[in-house]
Amino acid sequence: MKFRNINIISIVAACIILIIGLAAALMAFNNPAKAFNENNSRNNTILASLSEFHTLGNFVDGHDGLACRECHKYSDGSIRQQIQALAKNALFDAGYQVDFAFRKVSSSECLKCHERNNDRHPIYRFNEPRFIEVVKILPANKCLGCHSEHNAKTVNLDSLGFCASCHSELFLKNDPLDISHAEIIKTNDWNSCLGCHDFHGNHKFKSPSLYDESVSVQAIKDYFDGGKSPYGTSKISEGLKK
Amino acid sequence: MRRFILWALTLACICIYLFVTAPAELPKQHAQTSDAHEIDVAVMFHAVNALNAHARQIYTREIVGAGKKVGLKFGEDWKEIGVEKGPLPALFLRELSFELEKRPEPLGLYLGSDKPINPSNLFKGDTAVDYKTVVMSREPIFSTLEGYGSIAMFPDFASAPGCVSCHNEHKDSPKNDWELNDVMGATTWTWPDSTTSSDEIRQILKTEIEALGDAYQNYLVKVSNFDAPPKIGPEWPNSGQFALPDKDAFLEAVLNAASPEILTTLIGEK
Ligand code: HEC
Repeated sequence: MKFRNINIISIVAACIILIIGLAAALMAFNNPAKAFNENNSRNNTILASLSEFHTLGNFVDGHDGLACRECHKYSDGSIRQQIQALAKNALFDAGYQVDFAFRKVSSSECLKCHERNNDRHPIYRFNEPRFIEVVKILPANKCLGCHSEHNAKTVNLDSLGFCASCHSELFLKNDPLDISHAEIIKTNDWNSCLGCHDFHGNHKFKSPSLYDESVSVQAIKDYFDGGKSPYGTSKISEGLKK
Repeated sequence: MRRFILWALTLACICIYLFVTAPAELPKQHAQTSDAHEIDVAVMFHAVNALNAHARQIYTREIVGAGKKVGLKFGEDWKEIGVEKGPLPALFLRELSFELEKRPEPLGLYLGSDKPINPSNLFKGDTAVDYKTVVMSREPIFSTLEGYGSIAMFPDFASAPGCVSCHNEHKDSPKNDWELNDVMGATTWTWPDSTTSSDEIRQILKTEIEALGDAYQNYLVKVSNFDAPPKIGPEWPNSGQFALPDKDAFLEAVLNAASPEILTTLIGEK
């Protein structure tokens, strides 16, 4: 065996030992007997107590005060089981769906607080196969497609014109607006939609019937960037835990 | 050489730690049931669709149709605060999809058409091509799509007079000459795998029945907040009373109607 090969083996082995050791120590420091049990409610680990030092940035409005573990859940199984599964995936393409240590944050974490039965654009509707092209432009089939955490922004989209992906065929026989929707669509004025329509419909907001009274594009962009809601502060429903 | 042996030993120890003395393997996803997955997923799609189709027909005929005659109202805006209405059939189906989505089984249900009242229900692209085939053949079609798994598209028949009259009279309907038994649209179902098992089908049907009950219950909760709510119990509106069946009565009627079709599907005569 060549010296160079030994070096690679030693690096790989050292890394594996290091990762196992670190993860084990950080996650189970306070409760070694129950290391990595599936009870995701435990929050007394070293990781949690040091959260100030490793969070990636500011929370979005309303999320400050949430414990890390509300969103970052332990992955299924023990660290050993996870490494075992991941190694088998790497070696034999075994098809285990498991993350190491922590699960990827998914929409189901968000929906535990934010699911409402009158959401105008619930994410599951975008899982319909006919929206396959739409979700490439507007990944609204996942909460994290448009929203994110630790960057203090409300919405991470650069453009406001995404309504065009689904609503370009809109026609209204009884149009409630002074300038017709047909006219707005004809002139490709897609930036104006959110001026009257609250995407998820969770604010107590009445759409104006005069185009000139709609919320300005700038006010919506500011809202996306973490500014105050142009649809008012009063909500039809709040996140459950608030 | 000595270093090589040292590292080989270390690696061997890691392998023993990870694979030989390791705890049981993690279960793979969607393999929750122990029996073999050897049934074509089309069987599951036929069964879940039969349940939904009968629920849809009963809801349209007995709740919306008969309900309107005793003074109940239904509309697109039924969820708005202060509006005293119930869900239209399409929105009742959406309520079922919502209840299914909340549950862990990855079954998706959607409704679309090529002549929709609501333009956002329009089939486009490949789904529009599939839909044309469904309208011509009046039979379901099955396909697979990367990222979605198995997809089934079933014809949505005008199974009650209310389907025809309401769509023909609706101000936003682009088609006003629907007739009974026309294919008015299609229900699309999605499931991640292409095969299934009898345990899994049983579990999915159980889940769908629960979800259907909860979808109907959401309507009853809304109704109970009306200024003058109808009587909720064993009575149906076609008795002439201002009444709605409770969840159990509704589910019983749906199951009675759907069971023969589900049974013939499961024993493979369809
Ligand atoms: C009381 C009125 C009413 C009745 C009864 C009714 N529908 Fe609809 N239907 C609607 C409305 C309104 C929509 C649009 C709902 C939305 O906003 O998505 C709709 C939507 C649909 C859609 C989706 C495409 C579209 O038009 O937007 C299909 C397919 C459909 N209905 C078929 C049926 C069938 C089949 C029945 C009978 C089993 C039925 N409808 C009964 C009013 C009705």
